[in-house]
Amino acid sequence: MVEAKEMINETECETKFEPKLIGFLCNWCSYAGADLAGTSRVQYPPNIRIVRVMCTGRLDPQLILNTFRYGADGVLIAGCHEGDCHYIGGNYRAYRKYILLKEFVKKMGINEKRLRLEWVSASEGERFAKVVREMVDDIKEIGPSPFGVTTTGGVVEDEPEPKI
Amino acid sequence: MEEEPRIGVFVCNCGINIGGVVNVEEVAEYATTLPNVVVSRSSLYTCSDRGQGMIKDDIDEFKLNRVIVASCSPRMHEPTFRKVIEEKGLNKYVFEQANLREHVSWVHSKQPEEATKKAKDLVRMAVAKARLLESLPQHLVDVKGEALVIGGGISGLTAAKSIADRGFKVHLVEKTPNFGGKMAQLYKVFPTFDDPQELLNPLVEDIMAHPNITPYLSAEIADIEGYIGNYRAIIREQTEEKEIEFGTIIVATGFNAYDPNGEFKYGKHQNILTAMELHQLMRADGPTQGNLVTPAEGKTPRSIALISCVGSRQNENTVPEGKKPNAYCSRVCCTGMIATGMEIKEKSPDADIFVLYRDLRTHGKGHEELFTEFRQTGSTMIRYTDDQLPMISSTQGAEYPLSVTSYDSLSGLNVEIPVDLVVLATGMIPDDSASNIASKLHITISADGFFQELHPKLAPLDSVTDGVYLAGTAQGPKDVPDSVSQSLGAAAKACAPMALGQVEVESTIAVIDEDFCTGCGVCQGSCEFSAIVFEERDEGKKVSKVIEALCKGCGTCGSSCPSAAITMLHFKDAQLDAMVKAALTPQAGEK
Repeated sequence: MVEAKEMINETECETKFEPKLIGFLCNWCSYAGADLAGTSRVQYPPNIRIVRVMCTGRLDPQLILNTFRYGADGVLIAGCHEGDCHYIGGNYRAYRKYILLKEFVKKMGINEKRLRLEWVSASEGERFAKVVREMVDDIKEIGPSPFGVTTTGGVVEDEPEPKI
Repeated sequence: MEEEPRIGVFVCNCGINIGGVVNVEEVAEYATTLPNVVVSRSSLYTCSDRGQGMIKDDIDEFKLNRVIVASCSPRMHEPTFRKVIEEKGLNKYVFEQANLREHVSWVHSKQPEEATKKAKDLVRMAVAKARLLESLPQHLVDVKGEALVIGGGISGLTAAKSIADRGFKVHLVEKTPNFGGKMAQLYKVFPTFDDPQELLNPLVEDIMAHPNITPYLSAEIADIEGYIGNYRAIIREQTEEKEIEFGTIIVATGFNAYDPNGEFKYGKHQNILTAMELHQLMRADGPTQGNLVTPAEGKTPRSIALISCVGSRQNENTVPEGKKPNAYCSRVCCTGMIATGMEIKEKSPDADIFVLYRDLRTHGKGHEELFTEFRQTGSTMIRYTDDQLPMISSTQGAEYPLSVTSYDSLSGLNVEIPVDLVVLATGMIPDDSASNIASKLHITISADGFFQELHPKLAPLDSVTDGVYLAGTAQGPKDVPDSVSQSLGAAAKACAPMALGQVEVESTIAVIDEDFCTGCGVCQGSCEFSAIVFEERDEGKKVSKVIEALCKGCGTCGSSCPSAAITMLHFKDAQLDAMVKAALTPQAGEK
């Protein structure tokens, strides 16, 4: 009995869930904020992969949905604070899309906590790290995405290469 | 026909900055397994001459048409590496950078295995994007040979004159009725004890008479728009409004003295002054014609306490509730306080001076020497601690009107000092106009409230916006020599694009496929820069068109287009999608 129990524990260890997060960060504020976390040597969990965009306003809802489709356990959109957008109001437009997307992902059966939008300025390295920490903790609690590809190593659909 | 991508991957150790955490060799080795990668190498410093030479050699040898450098943040070295590949005849947009330092080794420094795994993911994502990168046409814009300088203190004046002396027109805008800023309000400036008017007056005269400078006093910027080379603003001078055009901007909005209201009994007794108020009192044009007397009694002070770090190096426990603590050091108050002590000694040689300080930071050229000289005056130094701030109380009827009590960490004793006058060496805070200017110019403010430079070490005079430069205390606390140095630097920076007459702007703009455009106009509503207009086509069909010079490349229109007719160059849907896919489904991004 004892042995069997230990084995189960071992298996649990091996399959310990490490969420995969994708972060879409605007070049001017949040990407610079993430850079500052680096220059300040602030530590945060290595679960996030960052994609740089010039502005959060650029984020097409389709891209966010695709990100979930490819198996992301969480998606972070981070841009400039209200009034700080390098392009005047791109962040507000991102926010409008985000509100709709939240509703949409809920209807798709995705826990809305998996999609998060934050304003992170270029001077908020510590805050960026905190947001990532929180998100990793939240998603560890709710478990893998229902599109559940991360734990199995990824499902790739058979589709042609995207056209340029 | 589209040529097959030939990608070179260069993984940087950055000394031990990356290599000390990430297994760089393993990442470079892994990169060779990725599609279209024909060569992958590691180097100690890819940005060094040798590292750059390696990239150039490999472009020749392997006929590379895409280059990836996996190193620091693209915000740091993207321009460097773009230049490298341009020298080899490649278009700068076929370069992609993976950020293994700021986003990996520095933030996961205790998890080398995970960091190496993440580094591989980032390289795979970069390869996925690089395969889809395209050469983009270069866009040059003309730069108008005129500059706008905001702020007429020592920094703004210096910058304006320096630019004007090089032959460019300058619009110098000052919000108060006089030039000279805060420096003009001082009694003397350390460490040389010059009368600030003697330094400022000739400069202001030069400015007023300069054929290339248009001064605006009691003026403000009502409106501003444009981009490097082509700015337009409306200057409101009292009731008049004037429209001006210019190519570059210098922000020299300066500082304000910290308001110690609610601290050290400031405002509760007339004999408790800030350093700025004491300066005013000692000036020949001051209320007492320069006689140093106590405001309450009008008598020569016999005993004076100077208290440092008021409004600087604060934490939650050292500020009254509701006040935001200023964590930074204001850099000028220590030497300023010492200099003030010497000026007091000059005016009232018999006065006893007590300096209450936390740490004494006399770091500038000639400052420590000044402190050594001050110590010869026999003044008493008392070192207080931030958990026991000096307390000030008024002593009705006693011989001295005020009493200062403090713990002295040097002697370990609590001391009580009867004084006539208390002077608070207040720190610097940004000028009130800072946040307004920041939002008008789309430049950022750092946590301390001052304007943020593009890079603390490598680009301390640039703001995040091309063509906008920072000078003086607007960027952070500085003394006069530092402000002047920085202003001269900012002036030189502003002159560079004006001297060239043309600058290259990013080619990463939106393009509209007219065949797909239904002419709904949603994109026009989403564009903050009015860069999209309707154009008539055959049979009265209306299509949207991007005005290239106005497009800033945010991509907001692209994500709003219901017909997917808009492509955001260099950040195309397919390119971003490929990165995400490569991140999440490793085998999709591998050979």
